[in-house]
Amino acid sequence: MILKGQSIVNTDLKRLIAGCLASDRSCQKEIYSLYSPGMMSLCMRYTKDRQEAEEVLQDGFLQMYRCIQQFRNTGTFEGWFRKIMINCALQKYRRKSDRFSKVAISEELYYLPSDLSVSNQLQEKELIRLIQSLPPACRLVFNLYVFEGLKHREIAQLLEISEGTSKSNLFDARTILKKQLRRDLKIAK
Amino acid sequence: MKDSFQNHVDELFRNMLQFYKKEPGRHVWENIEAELDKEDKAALIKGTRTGFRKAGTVLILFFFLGSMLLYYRIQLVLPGQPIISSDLSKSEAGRITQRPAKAYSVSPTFNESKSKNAMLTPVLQGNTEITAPDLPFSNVDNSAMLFHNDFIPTVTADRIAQTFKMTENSSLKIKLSDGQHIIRPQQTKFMDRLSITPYFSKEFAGYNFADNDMTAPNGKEVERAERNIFSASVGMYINYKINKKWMLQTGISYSWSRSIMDSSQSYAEKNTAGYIAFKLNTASGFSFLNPPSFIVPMVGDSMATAKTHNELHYVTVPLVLSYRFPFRRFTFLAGAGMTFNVLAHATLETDIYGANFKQNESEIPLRGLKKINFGLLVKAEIQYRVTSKMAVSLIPSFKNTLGPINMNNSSLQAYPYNFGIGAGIAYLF
Repeated sequence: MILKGQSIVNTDLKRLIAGCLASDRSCQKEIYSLYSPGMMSLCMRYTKDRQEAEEVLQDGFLQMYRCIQQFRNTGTFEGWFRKIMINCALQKYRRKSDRFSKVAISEELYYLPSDLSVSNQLQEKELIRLIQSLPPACRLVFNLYVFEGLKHREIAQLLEISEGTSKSNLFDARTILKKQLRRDLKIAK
Repeated sequence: MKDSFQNHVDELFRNMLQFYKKEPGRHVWENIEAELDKEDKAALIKGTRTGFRKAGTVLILFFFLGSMLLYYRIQLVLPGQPIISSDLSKSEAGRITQRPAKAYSVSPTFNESKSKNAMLTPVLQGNTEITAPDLPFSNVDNSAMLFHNDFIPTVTADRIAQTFKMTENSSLKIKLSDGQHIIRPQQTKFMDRLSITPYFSKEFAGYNFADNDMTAPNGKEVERAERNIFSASVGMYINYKINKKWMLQTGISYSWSRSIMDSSQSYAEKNTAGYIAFKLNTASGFSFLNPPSFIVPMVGDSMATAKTHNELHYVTVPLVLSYRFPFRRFTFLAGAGMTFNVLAHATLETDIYGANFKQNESEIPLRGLKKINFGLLVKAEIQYRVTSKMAVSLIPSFKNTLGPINMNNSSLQAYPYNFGIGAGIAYLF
């Protein structure tokens, strides 16, 4: 059994994938144990709270088990699985009607102090909370741009919005995050 | 300037969260597993149907071909000649030949968990070849073999695991010589299976009666005169998940019920101490009421009583076997079992009155009740998961005693029952 946190060698992964193809529950559980913490973190970023993140995680794993035969060894398994998970998060987002609700942001722009040592003062949990507090559209664009490294053109295609909207959403997300960071840092001080 | 800040925010989030990991709740895997089980079952049913169709087709084909063959052979065989003698005479009749079994050598490796099991370590650390005497079968040369042959018993991974006395936290990985693996998954810890549900339940109670003493006021009269006005219980279920589908529930609860009985007559009898007092029968036992000192009752005298309140308190230990249906954030439980009830407190309060007096009688102990009785419990539970550790529960239940709660010296035999609707909070460890 491969324990959590251990790096997985290619042969083990192949064996686990083969097991999943044969619907072997122990292999499916091993894959779950290996990838669930990382994917949970991803889902937390794409959703508004833990409960919703767990729902996306569940859907993502089920989707992965169902279509694991489609995985070709052209890229990494994690990358492939990550795409499935992001698609599940996007599907959840698409189901919601208020996805393009207008974000109210004050005119004042908040700049972070230039000598920031923010990373020392903030915990990952707090950063996740900040992302979760973003409006859904801003949250998705921010995640896709910052973490997945997609261009505005690609984000626009993926979310079926215009490039301008994508840019605007990213700008709004950054503004809100900076505002929140500034407030949190004040409190911390 | 602006760009640098924007990039800084991006980098801050990217760097801090790139390797961040978060454990999901335990229920997520349970839900996934339940969903996969459902899909497997559906696929199996579909596969079985297809299999039956194919098998049916093949059978029909064989039957048709066999019939054809038999028909033509009968046509060719002369009277008195054995039908299939030619085939048998060519083979070596009576000698059973068995094709050699396909064998794999086994090299087990054990991955020990962080804690407990040190027992296996010195014996089976690393890649250890298992020799024949260690395994529960003989006739094996030097190394353990897994046989893939219908005629020879198959040694399963479970059997090997039993041989090594695997403990809760160990997991076994067996590598076959052809590169295949068999893995025994890590078993769930005891605490992972455990949960508790503190609850409060409002109950609607009643009695079924049977007469014990034909001379005493019969059950129907008491049933008409007495009614339950309040009944409730508070307690805690301790839930142990046996497997995905079954759960064993026990715990403890404290229940109390208050009844009221309309005005009635009590008749003077000798009490247990030998004094004459007025005996008042209720659904849940009887009491001796002491009249005012200026009245000297004779056996058979009667006295009027006002409305009577009586209270019964029980401590209950349930034992229920429940079937679980997890569905998304909900878990439905339906179960039945027994209750072990211990009488904790039983009192009565009333007023007795005559032509020129009225006296209050309170905290009069109820007699004629069994200290212990057993009951039947049928319950359901609907749990809605709020967080990974907590769930809110709605618990409808039905309880009925298996025997009368009264002893033989009571004039009535009462079988209390109640319908309860409870609410609780389930906490998973």
